[in-house]
Amino acid sequence: MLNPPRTWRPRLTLAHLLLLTTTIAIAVAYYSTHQKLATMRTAVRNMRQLTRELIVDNSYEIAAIERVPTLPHENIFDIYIPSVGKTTAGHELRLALDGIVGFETGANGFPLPQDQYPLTPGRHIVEIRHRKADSKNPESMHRIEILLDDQVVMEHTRSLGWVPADGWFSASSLTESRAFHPSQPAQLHRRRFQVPTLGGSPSSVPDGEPANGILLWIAPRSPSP
Amino acid sequence: MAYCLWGLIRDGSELRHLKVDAARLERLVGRIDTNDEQKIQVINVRNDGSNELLWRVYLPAGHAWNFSHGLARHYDSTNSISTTKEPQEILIRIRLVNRDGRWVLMVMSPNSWGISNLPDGVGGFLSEHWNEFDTMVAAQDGNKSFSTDEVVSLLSVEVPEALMETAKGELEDSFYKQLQTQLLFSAEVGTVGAFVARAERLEMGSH
Repeated sequence: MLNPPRTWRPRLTLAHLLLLTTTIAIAVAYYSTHQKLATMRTAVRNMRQLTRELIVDNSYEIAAIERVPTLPHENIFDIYIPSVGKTTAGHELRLALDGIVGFETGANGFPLPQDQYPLTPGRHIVEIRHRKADSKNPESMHRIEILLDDQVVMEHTRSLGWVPADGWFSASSLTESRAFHPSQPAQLHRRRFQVPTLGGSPSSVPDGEPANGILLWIAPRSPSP
Repeated sequence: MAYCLWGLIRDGSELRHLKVDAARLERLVGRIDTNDEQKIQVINVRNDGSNELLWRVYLPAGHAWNFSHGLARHYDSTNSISTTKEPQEILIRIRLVNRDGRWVLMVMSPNSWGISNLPDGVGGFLSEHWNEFDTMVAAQDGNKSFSTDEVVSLLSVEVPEALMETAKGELEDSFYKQLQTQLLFSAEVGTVGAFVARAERLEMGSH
C-alpha cells in the first residue's frame, strides 16, 4: 500500500512571528518618522524665514539676510562667508557712496568702491549707520559708518549736498536668506538718493544714471600676484 | 530592514534637533494652529505696551490681502500683501519709538515698514497714557481663527471719556477733534474683498 504524498506546509515558529512583527514595526516607525521630519523641516524653515534667520545650506556659498528693522532706518545684515576656495582669494566688504546705478546685475551694477575691508570666513554681522547732516547748518556733514561685528571698519563723511533732496529709494532683496556664488558680487544694500525737481518735489534718478547713495556689497578679493 | 533601521536612527536624530530648534523659534514667534487651513489664524506674540506689539498671522492661500493701519485717520495707510498660491505666514510689528527727542510710530508688515513722525504732543500722549486707553489686542490669550470674509482688527486704541479733557490739553486741536469720531489707533488685516465689502456696508449705512 502506497503512502499518500506529503505536502509541504509553511511552519511558522514563534521566532518567525517575532521577526515579522519587528520588521513591520521598524518599517511603520521609519515611515512615520520620515513624515514627521518633512513636516518639521517645513515648519522650522518657515519660522526661520519669519524671524529672518540666516540659512546656510551650502558652506561653499556666501549667504546673507537683512534683519527685521526694530528702529527707524536700521540696516543690519547677517552674513556667512565661505572658506577661501580655488576660485577666490577670500572676500571683502565694499562700499560706494556715489556713481551708483539702479540695478545690480552685471559688472556695471557695481562701481569702483570708495572703501573695502577684508572678511574672514564664517558668520558676521554687518550694519550700516548713516547720521544725517543738519539741513539747517551748511557746515554740517553726513556721517556714514559700516560696522562689522559691532566694530566700525569704515567711516566716511560727506557734505550736506551729498543728499540732494530729502528722499531716497532703497532696494533690498534680502528679506529672505539668500545664497550667492562665491565668485560673484553679493549685494547687501543699494540706496540711491533722489534729486530735487524744478517743482521742488524729489524725483528718482533714472536707473541707468549714476546717483549718490550707499551701496554695500561683498565681493571676491583679487588674488595676490 | 537594515536600511529602515539606519534611516529610523538618522531621521530620529534630525527630528530631535529640529524639535529643539522649533521650540526656540516658537518662543520668538509663537505657535500657530493651522488645522483649519481656510481661516485666518492670529496670535499675539508680544505685548509690551506701546514699546512693541507683535503678531504672527496665517493667511490662507488664494486671496489678495491688505494690511491697513491708521492714527486717528491722520496717517491712513493700506499696503497690499502679495498673493501666493501657497498659504503664507507674516509678522506684523508696531512700535512707538522716541529717537533723538522725536516720537515716531513704526509699523512693520512683510512688504513694507513705515515710519510716521508724530505731531507734537501725540507721541508723548500715546506713551504716557497707553495703560489708560481702551485697548483691544487681538489673540492675546492664544491662537484665534477668523473667517476670510471679515476684516480682522489686530489692534484698536480708543481714548476713554475720562481722558478726553487731558487729550484736549495735550494734543493739537485738529488731532483732538479727530478723536471725537475716530479711534486713536487701529491696525487691520483682511482680504481685499472683505475690505471692499465693509466699505460698501459703511457707505450704505451712512445713507
